[in-house]
Amino acid sequence: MTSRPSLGVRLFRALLRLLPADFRNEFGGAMAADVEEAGQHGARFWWREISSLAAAVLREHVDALRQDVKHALRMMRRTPGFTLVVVTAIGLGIGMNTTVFTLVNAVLLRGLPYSNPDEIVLVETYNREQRDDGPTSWPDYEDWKKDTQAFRGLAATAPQPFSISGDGGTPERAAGSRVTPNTFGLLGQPVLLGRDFREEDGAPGAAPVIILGHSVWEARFASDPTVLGRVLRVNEVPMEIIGVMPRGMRFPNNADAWIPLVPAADGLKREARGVEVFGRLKGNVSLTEAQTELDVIAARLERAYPQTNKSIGVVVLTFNASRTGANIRAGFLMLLAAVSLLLLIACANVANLLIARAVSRAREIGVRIALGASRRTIIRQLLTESLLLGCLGGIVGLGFAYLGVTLFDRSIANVTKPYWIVFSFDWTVFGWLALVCIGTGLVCGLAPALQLARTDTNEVLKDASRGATTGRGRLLTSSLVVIEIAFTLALLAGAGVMIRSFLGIYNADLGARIDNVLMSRISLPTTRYPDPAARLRFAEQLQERLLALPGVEHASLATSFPGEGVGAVRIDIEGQPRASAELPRVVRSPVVDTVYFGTFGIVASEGRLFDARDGAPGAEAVVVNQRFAEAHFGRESPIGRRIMVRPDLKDTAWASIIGVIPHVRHGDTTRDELDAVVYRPLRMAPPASFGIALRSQQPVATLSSGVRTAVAGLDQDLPVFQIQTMEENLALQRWPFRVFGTVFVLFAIFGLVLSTIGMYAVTAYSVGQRRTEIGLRMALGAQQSQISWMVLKRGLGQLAIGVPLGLALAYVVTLGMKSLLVGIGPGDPVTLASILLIVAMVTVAACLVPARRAARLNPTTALRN
Amino acid sequence: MFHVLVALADGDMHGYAVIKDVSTRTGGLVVLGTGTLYGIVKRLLAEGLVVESKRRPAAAIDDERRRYYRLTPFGREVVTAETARLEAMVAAARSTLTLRKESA
Repeated sequence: MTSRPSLGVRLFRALLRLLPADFRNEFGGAMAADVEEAGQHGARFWWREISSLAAAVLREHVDALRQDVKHALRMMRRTPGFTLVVVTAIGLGIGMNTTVFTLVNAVLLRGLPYSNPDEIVLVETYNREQRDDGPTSWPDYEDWKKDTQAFRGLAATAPQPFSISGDGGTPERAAGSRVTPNTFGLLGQPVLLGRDFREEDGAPGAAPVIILGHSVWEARFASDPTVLGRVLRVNEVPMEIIGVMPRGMRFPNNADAWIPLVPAADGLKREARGVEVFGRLKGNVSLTEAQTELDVIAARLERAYPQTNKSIGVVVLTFNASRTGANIRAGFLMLLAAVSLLLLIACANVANLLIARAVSRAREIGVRIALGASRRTIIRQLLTESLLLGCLGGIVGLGFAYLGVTLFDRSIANVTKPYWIVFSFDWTVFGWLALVCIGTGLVCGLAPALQLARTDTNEVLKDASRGATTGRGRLLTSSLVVIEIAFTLALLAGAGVMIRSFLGIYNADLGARIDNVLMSRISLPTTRYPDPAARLRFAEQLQERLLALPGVEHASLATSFPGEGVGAVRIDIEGQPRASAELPRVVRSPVVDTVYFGTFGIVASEGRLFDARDGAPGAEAVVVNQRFAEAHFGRESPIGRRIMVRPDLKDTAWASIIGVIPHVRHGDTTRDELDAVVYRPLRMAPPASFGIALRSQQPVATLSSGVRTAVAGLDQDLPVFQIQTMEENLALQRWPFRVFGTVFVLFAIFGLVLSTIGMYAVTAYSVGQRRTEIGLRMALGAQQSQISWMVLKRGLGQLAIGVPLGLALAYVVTLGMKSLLVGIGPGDPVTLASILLIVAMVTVAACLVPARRAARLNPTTALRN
Repeated sequence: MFHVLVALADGDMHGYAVIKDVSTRTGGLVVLGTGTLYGIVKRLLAEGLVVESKRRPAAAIDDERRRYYRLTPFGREVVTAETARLEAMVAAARSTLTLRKESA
């Protein structure tokens, strides 16, 4: 009719495609015709048309969505049971997923609770020789600060235990931190009461001041606002309280009080590395850029001070990276992977349910298609339904997630975690939840929607009873079951190796008797106990008093007890000079008294254990563990050989090895590998800070007041802290294993239950569909066993495909968990085999029930219906 | 919506004719885009105020894609009632304004 339509008309026609299908089918042609009829017009005409069309596109889509949602809600109300099952299944899946994501968000993503937390980074000294990062010396810090351009500012902190007393209350121990006065300003942390540190508070000779943490303020001063200006004795020094921090603020390492960091004379040496440096990056500077710049500065310092800074570099890292070990990170990510698998299994289940229901809806859909609804409209309608199910599931899931997070939080209530890691919902979590809801809705709904939209109108309307169980539909259902089996296998395998590895660690023999032992710690201030002799005298007097307590059988003093961590020290071995390229020899070395080994039931495997003479000048002696003996003396007996502990100190003497004990686990209770340990007698190196262990036949918890009295009898101002039984202490160390283990078992069981239900439902459903066929076969003389086999065959077929897929997936999963596994390899055959057996048995059982029911079908009834 | 009903009160017409009619009637003040028009038409159809008309002009001057609409008796009632309501409102407004002018 017309020649070539104008550009405007063509554009208009193209834009019409954006309208919802129904509206376009109804009015699209008329709209195009009208616009063409209007003929050539100016810009105003086209502006009006295009904007009116755009408004229509928006309006009609919203309208269509509203219609779809209304329809979907009506469908749900019509089948409340089905809706409840689906929403619960999705809700559980999403709930667990969101729970774990909340944890992951808190542990790995969120960072410090300040504005632009990504800018706040730790700057640590990195010793290339020992491949270890750690604190920094004051002069290095000052040089970094002077030369760097990447940071808005650098600040230094140093942890220091505080003994708080002098205000009439009981002496108390608090985790304190010395901080440079710019610390809180850099963080953007205002005080709750009083004032922040000023530059002059950090000057040498400044009047001592302290800022209290909220918990100390609350517990010791009953949140009294007039506390400012009062004087507190902290480590024997009177300090004026100038401020109080808000609740929850415990920067950097769960500190409860802060004093200005004033470097003492010996702290100014370049080899005294005792401060932890952090900084705030300038807004446009990345972590890598800061690292590059500091590398240059560190290299210059290394050249300028070769004696102290040889092999000393710098590493810039986030707080999260430094405070949550690789194991915890990997553990949480594995959990996230596990719950995602679980959610996928739940989705496959729901998809199967939707497909099964599709049959009953085939007629409705057929009618709608016959009445002119386009397939796209149908698909959209069905996807709206499943998205709505996903969203409802999300709401239920949020409830489950709240429960899950609360439970997790409670289960680790006693565990010291970095103060900024708080398990709570925030916008990141809600964003994730929204994504998961939409994803779940789509994943559940896509297959059934596509399947239904292909409905052959004629077929369905002719004979509704036969429905949509086409070959293709059955294939789809079967593939979903195969996927479920595969995912379940992978999930169980992951959980299996994880749990086996956890159990291995959890039940690892400590090498010592730790039942009925109460532990506690004290720390002697150097002001009142300046020399080793004073410390030794205190220790001996304390031991006497402790033994006098009623019910106490053993009272041992040592720097660390079995199961506890021990600091590493350098040693030299007589007759085994260290090659210059070799790393320094490092061992763990607790200082223990003479009754230590007896208290924990440890006996010598060679030589003898400490007696009262050992450790005195001229009688220097050490006891080593088996691992040390093997590592340094091989098959030879180490007895009588001499070693020097801490050769870097002057006055260190050679000490003879007098005995060897079997392995006792110390800092390695969560590792497979054992450390080399050298035990030194108390007399040889009286420690300033040590633990007290009391063994008693009566309930040990009742001894805690006795310990306090004994200590107070010697020194009124000495706090006793960390009072707990040895078993509690050990459980605390191993909490990640207990929590992760429990959670993994729960997930695995849930996954197994879900896929079993899925398998059962699909088989039972297909039996229902084939009633007539089964009835016919039986009428024609088929045996019951033949019928059972016919049903079972399909389940076994699915198993046969699902198992190899699942095994492959399981291998990949366990390979990814390698770093978490202790004493067990990925693809551990025992685990895989037992899991395979479980899955096979459960699957067969899930098919057997409907198979037997099919076999007992009465042919006459089946055929009549 | 009101304008469309008024236009159709004159007799059956198709979309573009409605747009032209409304534009002329309002002296070019109200010019409907097709997107707006058919949104209105959809609602009028759903509420039973208009129906699609089967009577079409001679094929030579027709375009088969066009849609023609006719006012239903109910639609005519609605447009009459709405006109009366607007008239009453205008009258009330006018008397208030006149009063105020007199008192001033």
